[in-house]
Amino acid sequence: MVFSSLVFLYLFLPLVIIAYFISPKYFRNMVLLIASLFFYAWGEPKYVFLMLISILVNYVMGIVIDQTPPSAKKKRLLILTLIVNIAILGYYKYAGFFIGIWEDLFHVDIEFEEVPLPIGISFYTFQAMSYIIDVYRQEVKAQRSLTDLSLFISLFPQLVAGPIVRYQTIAEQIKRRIIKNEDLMIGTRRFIQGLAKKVLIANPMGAVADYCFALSGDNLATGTAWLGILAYTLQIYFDFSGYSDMAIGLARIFGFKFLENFNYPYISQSITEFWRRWHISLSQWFRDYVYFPLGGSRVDAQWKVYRNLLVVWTLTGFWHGASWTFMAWGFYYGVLICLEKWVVLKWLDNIPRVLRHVYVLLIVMIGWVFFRADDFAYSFNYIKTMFFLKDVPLYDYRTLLVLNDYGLYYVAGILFSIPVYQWYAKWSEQKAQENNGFYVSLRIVQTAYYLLIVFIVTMFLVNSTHNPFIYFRF
Amino acid sequence: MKKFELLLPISFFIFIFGMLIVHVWMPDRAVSQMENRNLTVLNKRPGLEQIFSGEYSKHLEDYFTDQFPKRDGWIREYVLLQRHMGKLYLNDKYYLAGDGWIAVSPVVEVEEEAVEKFVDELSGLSHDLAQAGIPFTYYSFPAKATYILKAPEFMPKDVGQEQNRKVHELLKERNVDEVRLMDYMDPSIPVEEMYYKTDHHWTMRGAYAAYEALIGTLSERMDESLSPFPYDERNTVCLKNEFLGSWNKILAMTVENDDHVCYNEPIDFSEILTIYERTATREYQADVDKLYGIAKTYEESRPVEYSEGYSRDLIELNIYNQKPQVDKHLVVIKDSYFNPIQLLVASHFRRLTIIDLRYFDKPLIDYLKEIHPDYVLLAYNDRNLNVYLKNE
Repeated sequence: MVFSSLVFLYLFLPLVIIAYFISPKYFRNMVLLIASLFFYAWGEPKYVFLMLISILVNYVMGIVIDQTPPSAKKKRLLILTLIVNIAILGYYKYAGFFIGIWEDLFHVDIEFEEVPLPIGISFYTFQAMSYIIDVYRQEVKAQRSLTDLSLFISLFPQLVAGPIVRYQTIAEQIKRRIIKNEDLMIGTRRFIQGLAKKVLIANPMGAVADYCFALSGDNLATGTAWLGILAYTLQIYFDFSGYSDMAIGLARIFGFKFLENFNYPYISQSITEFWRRWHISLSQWFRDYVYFPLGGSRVDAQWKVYRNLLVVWTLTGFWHGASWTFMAWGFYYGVLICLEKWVVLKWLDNIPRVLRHVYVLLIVMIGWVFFRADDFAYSFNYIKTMFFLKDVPLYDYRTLLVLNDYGLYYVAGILFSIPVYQWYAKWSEQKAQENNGFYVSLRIVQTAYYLLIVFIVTMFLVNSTHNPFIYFRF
Repeated sequence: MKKFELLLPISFFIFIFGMLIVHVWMPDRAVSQMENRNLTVLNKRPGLEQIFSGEYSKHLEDYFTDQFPKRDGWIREYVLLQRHMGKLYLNDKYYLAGDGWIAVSPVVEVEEEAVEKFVDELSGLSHDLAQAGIPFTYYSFPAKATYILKAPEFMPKDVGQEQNRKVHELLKERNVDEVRLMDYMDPSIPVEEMYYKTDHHWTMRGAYAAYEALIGTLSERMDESLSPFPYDERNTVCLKNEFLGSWNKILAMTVENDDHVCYNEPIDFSEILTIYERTATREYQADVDKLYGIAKTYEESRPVEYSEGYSRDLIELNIYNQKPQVDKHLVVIKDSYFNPIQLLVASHFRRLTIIDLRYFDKPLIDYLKEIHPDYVLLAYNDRNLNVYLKNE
């Protein structure tokens, strides 16, 4: 089930809210767990059992590791559990890719039927691994309640597209949480914001990106190529951050406070900063569980820092999908971050701010070309078209049509990519605290405004019966 | 003051829960006239396999979306929003010209593969019929999308006419008899009179001109003295009912228009024609008035669509004529463009068999050999590049 669907918004969500708030407090985790399993089973019922197996393995091994004193045996238990987790993920996500490589290398045919990727497997496997590692490091105690651990791993707001929530973030909240009026208001607001980002900006921009990336050769004018990649740049941000907003908002309604996953990445002034603002939970996961264990930047030679960065970023790319283009995309960022660490950051300090923004946006958009295209050949051709290296017109009727029919979506996308709304929200909330009349008016206007957005979103959703999220298959 | 913090969450909850209540309370609809399709109806007894395969959740999602309260109203609002936002191509396809015409986005490149395949299929059909001693001609009817070329100035020209000519050239090279009907139609009729503004079909005026050209060209081919009933404006009768144009329906009937279903009947067809409709299960004699122009019996307040104005697409019709001009059996393999003129054409032949291959359920060639007509036409609008031949 996806959040941006009529069945979620008008069937699942109201029923879960009712069930949750009329239940006694001791039963609320169970209500959420049942809802989460139902939510997961909606699309691919058989894979709910795979997730339950994963939960059971991590539950048992968590307790065993917790009870084992620090020793080589404890480490072996950790490694064994991690291998089981990675094996499950590897089988479903990467087996086909590696078998393909093996076949190419040794010119053999291996019989392997590609299995469909269980939704959200990358997210819940990473959450489970973070739990096990934290238990091993004795940063948290193992969870003794199977219901509570199951809820941590399967909690429906973040189950299928993140953010990747670390156990220590919500361990206490799983046990007890107090839901204030403010939580309900902020959660509802955040959920509707995410819904609008996904439905009103990401989806229309996705349609433009699909249209432009389906063009090839002479049909792709330079202007169209730029509009296409700009559309994709906006689509992927509003799609993913919209989903995170919905997840954070829904969790807040049920009393959980998740950490932020995006912080206006497109206003960054360096690639290093971009990755501190983009998919924060994934970057932090790799930092804490891969980069630091490799030695991070505390190593005896500078080249090892670069090696560690390249390993982490190539793995980050690989996490996004089992293909060479995703790995290349990750490696691309690894190289850029190494270069920034080496010398580029110093150069950037000396150039005007606007050029730093241009630098980041160009690098990111080129990266998205590799991310979006199916193969390297198409990516390179697309980039050549963007930079006038192909004999194609500057613009054609497609360019004008996209500009006319989707211009407003671009404007909205660009406007909401910068923290304009955040500034306004901060200003208005501050003023509301100082002035009661303003406070009441603000709440009334906000309510009308957000209900209007729900109305418009519903209008868009009724028109759309097929509405997949980009990040579902990761 | 803190209670005001609950204003949004409570309002939001009331809205979504209220919609759920309305959804449950409102009776389900079986069909959406606007979308021209059956709506999903709830399967209350799913099998275990359906549940575990995910098929049932997909079904429930389809059901919930299809039966969403005031679905047509939401779609209408969406189209209006696109118009207010200045979108040129509504739903990314439909251009609304200032004078009330709805046009589709132009085809900018000849669809070479589709053309080749279409020509191959027609050649095969012609060849098979020739072996059975049955003459065959392909007729392309001028489609609205090919001749109503309304688009923003910067858009390239539609290549429909070029594509249509290419089909005919290739058929000629392969010795398949063909007629590009537009070349034989009265050029004095403005194309704007030939088509509905809000539908993808032609008006009675356009269809009548095609009928005249069709009979004229057939007369030469069959070596018979066929002469069409000449067009007489005085025979034209129009319904006052609102017209549900196919493209207007896609745009949720948001385009105001003066389209109406009209008829031009030079004779009383019911006096000379007897019609047999064959369905998948039976063949029966049908009333002429029920198979053609059922909308004539409607109340004025009831909106009418093209298929109700003229005829639905049926598997097979056999029309027998008591007073034929020629003692010949003609088979027409057709699409919906033929529907307004089927009785006019039938009034010239002893027997007219009309086949719609989209629904036809028998091996075509075997069937044609069995009934062995004097002549076979395949008459499709020129945007239609699919013969719909099933593997035989």
